[in-house]
Amino acid sequence: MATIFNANDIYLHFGGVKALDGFSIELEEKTITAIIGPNGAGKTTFFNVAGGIYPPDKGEIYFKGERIDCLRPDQICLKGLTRTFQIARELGEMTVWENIMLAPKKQLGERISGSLFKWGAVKNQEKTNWQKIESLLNDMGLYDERNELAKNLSAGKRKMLEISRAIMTEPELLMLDEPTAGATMNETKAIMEAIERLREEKGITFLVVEHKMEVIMNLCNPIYVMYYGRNLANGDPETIQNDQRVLEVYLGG
Amino acid sequence: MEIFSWILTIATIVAIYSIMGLALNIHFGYTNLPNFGIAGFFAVGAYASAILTAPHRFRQMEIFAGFAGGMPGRFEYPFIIGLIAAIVFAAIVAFLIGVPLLRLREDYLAVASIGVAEAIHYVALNELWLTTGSAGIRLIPMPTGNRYLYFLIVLFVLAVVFWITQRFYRTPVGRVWRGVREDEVITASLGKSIFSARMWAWVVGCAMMGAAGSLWAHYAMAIQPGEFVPTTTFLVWIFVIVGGLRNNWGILLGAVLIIGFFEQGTRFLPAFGAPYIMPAIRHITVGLLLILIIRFRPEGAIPERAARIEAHI
Repeated sequence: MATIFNANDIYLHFGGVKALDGFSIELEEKTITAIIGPNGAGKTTFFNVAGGIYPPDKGEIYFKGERIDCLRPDQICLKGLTRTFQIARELGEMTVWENIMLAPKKQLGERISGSLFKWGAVKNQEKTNWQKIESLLNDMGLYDERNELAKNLSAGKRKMLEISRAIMTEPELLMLDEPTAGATMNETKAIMEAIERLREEKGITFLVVEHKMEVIMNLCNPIYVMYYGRNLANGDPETIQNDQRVLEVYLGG
Repeated sequence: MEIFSWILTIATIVAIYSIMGLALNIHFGYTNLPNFGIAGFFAVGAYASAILTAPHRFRQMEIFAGFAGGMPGRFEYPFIIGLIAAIVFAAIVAFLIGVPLLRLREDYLAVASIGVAEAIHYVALNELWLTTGSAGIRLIPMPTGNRYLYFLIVLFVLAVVFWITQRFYRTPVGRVWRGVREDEVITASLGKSIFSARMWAWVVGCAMMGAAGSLWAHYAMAIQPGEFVPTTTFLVWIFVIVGGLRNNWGILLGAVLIIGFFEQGTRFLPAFGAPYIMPAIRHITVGLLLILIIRFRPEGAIPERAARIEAHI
């Protein structure tokens, strides 16, 4: 299998805080990789660096062989790397369908000239996009809420909305920051199934930050453990579960 | 007949203000760009149109002195050239100012934009070679020379602007703008360039304000810098908030209500008591209405309505 993404020796300091202190990770194509670690280990910071929100102080990030650590978030997304956020950030005053219809890349109607002068083409593109979204919403169990304002959704549905929106950017690598946080048991199961299905059907590579052990151990392989901005261990679920250092970090022993 | 002419005057002013209101909706309602420099772009449009269509300023003096026809005019282009130039110049100024301005956060953007408008006001006041300073530009031609026909022209421009604003709301460009309004980080993470979205919204809105300036110059037939002060900006903000920010119909309603009834409609009411009591009451009423709306109905008279996908496709 080929490597799709790798980050080498990433450093990022906020004042005196070493949020990332030489973290490295390598993702194989079509795998679901997890990053775990105690609170404050730097998982979300790493997502923000990989997504282009903070440039790293030191270190290099490559995606499909191209260096991306100097790009803006929108440029990184256009290359095929989409990330979601830990606290579901929906576009609250917009409806569910508008939230998702925002995502498809390079829409004709996003240009002023296209919007004003290419009526037919814009309309057709909107229809095609909506057809894709319609079936996605059905799969995600959001179809009935399509005309609802996003701020009125439950926490689990917001997570679903965020994942659906990310999928509509047609990413090759999808980075999910706690995709099941705040979701009920059933919603968690549905989200896990969706991730597995997308990997199989669309060949999307996943990088998941998660706290729920049942999600990680059943879904993800390999697993990276992060501790104070550094790599602590990595390997398959079996290895991680039996790693003495990981147990110490998690059990505080 | 007198009452009819009076209504026509008010209707023309309301229509011109509505254009600025719709432009502010693109800025603040759609994209969350609090533009407090409306008067500045209004002035750019008015002056661009006036300079290109009015007779040369020396000739203006000659006409007033009673020996018209001495010196040739400088440009004296037709109205349509003036209108197009107003739109183009307002857009160019908006772009140049937007490069530094749009990197600011909303609150700083608000402060900076009011400063920009004041700078434009002082250019109009001091660059005598271009604007004749405080004397202003006179003898700006009114196309068709007929106030009734001119009102139809203003109404036509308003209809076009209204159609464009509505169209933007419904097409992907408006979706990106509203995405920027709701959460810039998310919208950027979905592959949309925030700066270019903000810039397009800014330039398009300012161009509309420029068009309103041109229409005003040709209606009033004389302009001077004193008209382009922050009061104009605040009036637009007030009726946009009262009528319904984010809803274009609400903005039309707000313009009729605030500009039509309160600002202009009460102007010719018979004075009673002390001579300055009527204008004071007018301002107090508008202020009170604004406070009441913000307190009891912050979304405005007609709020934004969530669009249904079935109606969209």
